[in-house]
Amino acid sequence: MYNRSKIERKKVDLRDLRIPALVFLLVAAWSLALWGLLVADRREQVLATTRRTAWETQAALEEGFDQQLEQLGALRDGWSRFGLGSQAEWQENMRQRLESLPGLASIVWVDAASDRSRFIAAPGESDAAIRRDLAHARAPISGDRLEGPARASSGEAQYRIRLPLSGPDGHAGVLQARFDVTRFLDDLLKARALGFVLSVWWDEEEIFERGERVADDWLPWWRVDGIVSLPLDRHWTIVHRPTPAFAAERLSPTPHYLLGAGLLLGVMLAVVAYQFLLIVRQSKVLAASNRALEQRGVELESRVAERTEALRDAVTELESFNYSVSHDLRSPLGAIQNFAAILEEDYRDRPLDGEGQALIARIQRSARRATMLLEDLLQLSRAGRAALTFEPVDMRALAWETIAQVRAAEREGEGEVEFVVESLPIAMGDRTLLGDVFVNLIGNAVKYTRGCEKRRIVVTGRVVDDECTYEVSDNGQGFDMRYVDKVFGLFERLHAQDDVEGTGIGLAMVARIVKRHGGRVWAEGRIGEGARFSFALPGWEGAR
Amino acid sequence: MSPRPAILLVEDDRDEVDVVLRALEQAGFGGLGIEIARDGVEALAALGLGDGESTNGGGVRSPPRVVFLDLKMPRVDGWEVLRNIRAHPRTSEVPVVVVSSSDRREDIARSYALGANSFLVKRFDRTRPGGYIAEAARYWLELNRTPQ
Repeated sequence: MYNRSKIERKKVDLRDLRIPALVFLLVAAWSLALWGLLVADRREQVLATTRRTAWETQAALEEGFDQQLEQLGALRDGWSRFGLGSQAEWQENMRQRLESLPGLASIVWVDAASDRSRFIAAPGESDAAIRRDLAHARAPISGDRLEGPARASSGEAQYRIRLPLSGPDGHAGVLQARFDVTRFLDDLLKARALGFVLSVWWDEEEIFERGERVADDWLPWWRVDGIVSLPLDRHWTIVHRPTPAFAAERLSPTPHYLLGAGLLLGVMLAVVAYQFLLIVRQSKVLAASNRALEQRGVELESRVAERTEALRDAVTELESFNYSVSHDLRSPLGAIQNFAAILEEDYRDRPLDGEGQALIARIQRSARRATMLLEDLLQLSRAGRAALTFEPVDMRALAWETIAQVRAAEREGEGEVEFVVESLPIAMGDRTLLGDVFVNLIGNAVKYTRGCEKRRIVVTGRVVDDECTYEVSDNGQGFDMRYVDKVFGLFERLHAQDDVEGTGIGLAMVARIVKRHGGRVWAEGRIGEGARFSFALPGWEGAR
Repeated sequence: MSPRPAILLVEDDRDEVDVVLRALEQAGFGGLGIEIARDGVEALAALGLGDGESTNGGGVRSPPRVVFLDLKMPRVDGWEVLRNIRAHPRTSEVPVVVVSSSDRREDIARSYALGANSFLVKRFDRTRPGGYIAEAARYWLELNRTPQ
């Protein structure tokens, strides 16, 4: 029977997961690499933008300082060459300067030698700041100076540019401009570096800040520090950092989606690979099953051929059997017809005399022969067909039962028969069929001793070489050993029908029964001295 | 020389023998001598082909003019007898009519192959039991009318 369980799904074998796992890892690694590249590229873009912005901011700052220096320088040159002019003109002129230069908080001119000074301040500047400016301006300088930035006492970061001057008309002293860092940078950077957090540092001190505050550790690699070269060898550091909103805008989530899709694809491919493995395995199993089936088919065919041949043999045997039966049945029936016809012809118009009676007796005898043949055939059929029931059989008792049965059927006047039954081994076999064996052997012995002197039938038995052997011997007509091969043949007879009645079935049936018990039969005989029929059954532990 | 029976009837069934004998006598062949053999062994003995031939002091008998031979008999069957008849020069020319209740093609073919002159299937004739044997006897006796 084809084994179905072979193709049913087994428990998952860890070894089966190796290839799917490899597939998943490959796809996942590829996705991860792609994700990394994309993310790095985006970051690089953001960083590049930041750098460019920083550079632009830096340039703008430097330009703003240059502008301050340039204008203040022009002012000094004017004063040096043409003098300060009237107070009113000066005030008006300086007010324009205050408006045009972003972050300019005050302009002070002090001539320490003549103790003259002029000043102007942007609206909102305190008197104290002006006084500090005036005091500061009195300090002599040898050249152009940038002072600060520094925190004023009010807390605002500021720086001063101081330029010494000396004019032809005796104008000398210091031109000092104070700038408010916050206002300067607010104005300068108001339209620049949008989306970035800016802070300006000078000497470890933060002097300006714009935009929302972010933690220092927020994506530190996006921080770009620009060095702003101030005039007179001074430096500011301006720090650019993209705001989270700006970064989020640039860093789209596409790479993350790609990574997720890649991992999902990996899982799917792994599942597909696993299923594929299973299919391959199942198809292998199926192929093996197919081969087994084909093999079975070949075996079955050869078995069919064997059986067919056996069947053909059986049919041939059956045909031969049928032929023999019809042949043997035809003779007595034909005789009945023949004698009936003779009776009809000879006694058409006269009463039945002794001869007529004899014809009727012959008809009866033929009818009896036909009946006997049919009965034997039935018995033979039973011997070949019936299922064997094995049981211990007391063969001695069985022999005596048989003898009683045979004696009852024996006709009067045939002469006494002396029966001797010795101790017999207990047999293992079918009681009914072994009874049939004895009926035929003892019955035969009785038949073939008819007309002999001192009829004597002896049944003996013994256990020899793991076999239980039984013998029925008589002192009757015996037979010629030349024809011993025919003794057990079906429908074979060694004597003419009218010498000894018989059908040629009995001994054949004996042979068949013994053979079905796994035993064997044989016979010995001598003309005029008697015959001995023997059979042996397989030995068993109960035989004794 | 012992009287020579013209017909040898080989048949193990005594009823059949009686019917055939009656038919042959009715046909007028009773006076020619009819010998009965009840099986193959007796038949061979009657033809002088048996075991005891060499020790048979009665001398060699001439063969019958026709043999009616049954096939199925105890001990030695009809084919064996037929083979012996054809094998022996003295009897090889004797007409042999096989009489059998078999009408099987292979039995008929085998009989002719072994040298049978004719093959008759046993018939049970309501009007003349054994009459077909008598008719066959008439034909073969006429054909084999050897001078005495």
